[in-house]
Amino acid sequence: MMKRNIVVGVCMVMIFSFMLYVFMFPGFGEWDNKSVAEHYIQNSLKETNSANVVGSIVWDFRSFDTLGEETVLFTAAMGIFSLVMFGLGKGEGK
Amino acid sequence: MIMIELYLTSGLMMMLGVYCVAMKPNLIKKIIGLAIFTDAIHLLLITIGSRENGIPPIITPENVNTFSQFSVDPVPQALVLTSIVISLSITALALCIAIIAYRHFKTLDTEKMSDLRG
Amino acid sequence: MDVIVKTTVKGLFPFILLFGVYIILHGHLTPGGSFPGGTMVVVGITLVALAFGLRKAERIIKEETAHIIEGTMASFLIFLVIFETFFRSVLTPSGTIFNLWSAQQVLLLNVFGGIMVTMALTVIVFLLIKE
Repeated sequence: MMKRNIVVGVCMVMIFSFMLYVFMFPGFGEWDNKSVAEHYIQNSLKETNSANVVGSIVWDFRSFDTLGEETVLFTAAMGIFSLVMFGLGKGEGK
Repeated sequence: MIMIELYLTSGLMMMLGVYCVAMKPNLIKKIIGLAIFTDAIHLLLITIGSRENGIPPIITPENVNTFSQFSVDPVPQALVLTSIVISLSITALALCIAIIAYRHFKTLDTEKMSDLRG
Repeated sequence: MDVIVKTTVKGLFPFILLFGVYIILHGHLTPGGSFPGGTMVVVGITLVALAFGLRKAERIIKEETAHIIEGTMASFLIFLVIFETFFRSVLTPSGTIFNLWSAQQVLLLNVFGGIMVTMALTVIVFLLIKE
């Protein structure tokens, strides 16, 4: 029990110092080198007539990431189906 | 020192999530701690790409001209949208495995589960 | 369940459904899209399944039908995205900017994605209630 308490305490101190490091590193709110975001904001109304910049990123500029996410959702539904059928019929069933 | 309270909230939630996964013996509480940890990471990702006096990245008929000077970064928001759905799938599958574990061991206590040895 | 819960769910269900369909359809004008809108429709169906039992909720949509629609929509979405990167000139965005029929690609993909998210989450919820 004592060893687990020490490990958890060290883990929490590490996470807190990681937060402080992220806080001090760049100057927040500065737009030094965000070239991809500038390109998406300025060209979202010209290339696709969409007023929602996040929607046009998700479905138009980077649509393959959304395709991968739909695959994950479909796999989760199939996995839960097979687990429930395994629990009910001992491996049999539809 | 812009928006320090959001960074501190994210750090606090991360510590709470790690504490719940490591120290609570119930199985359902560990799954709740995992969901809290994932949500803290999403908050940190969105807070990094913001600016002071920022507006959300939606074009309305009023601010068509001065839009590109004040809007926040839209790319982390699009990626966090994907990550929320993945976190939902992980929680659903973990709960299903907990149901099957309860039927086999007749208990939800991980310290008793490691004592039984089948 | 009680009379109070049943009456509340009976009065609230059409409005939850209407609001979810509104968020899916206006995905190119306001924040939203397919994932939040599909979740709201599934929340309405879950409320009916918890308050009235699984038999009444199966009258809205059956579980085998949800499986078939989900598989069809998944393959259709894959085909549509791959078709969009090569033949982009077929679905050029037209129409005035802030109308409902303005950004065809985002609107079409939002509707199909919303149907697929609804069916996938309905399958998960019904299977977890059935244990």
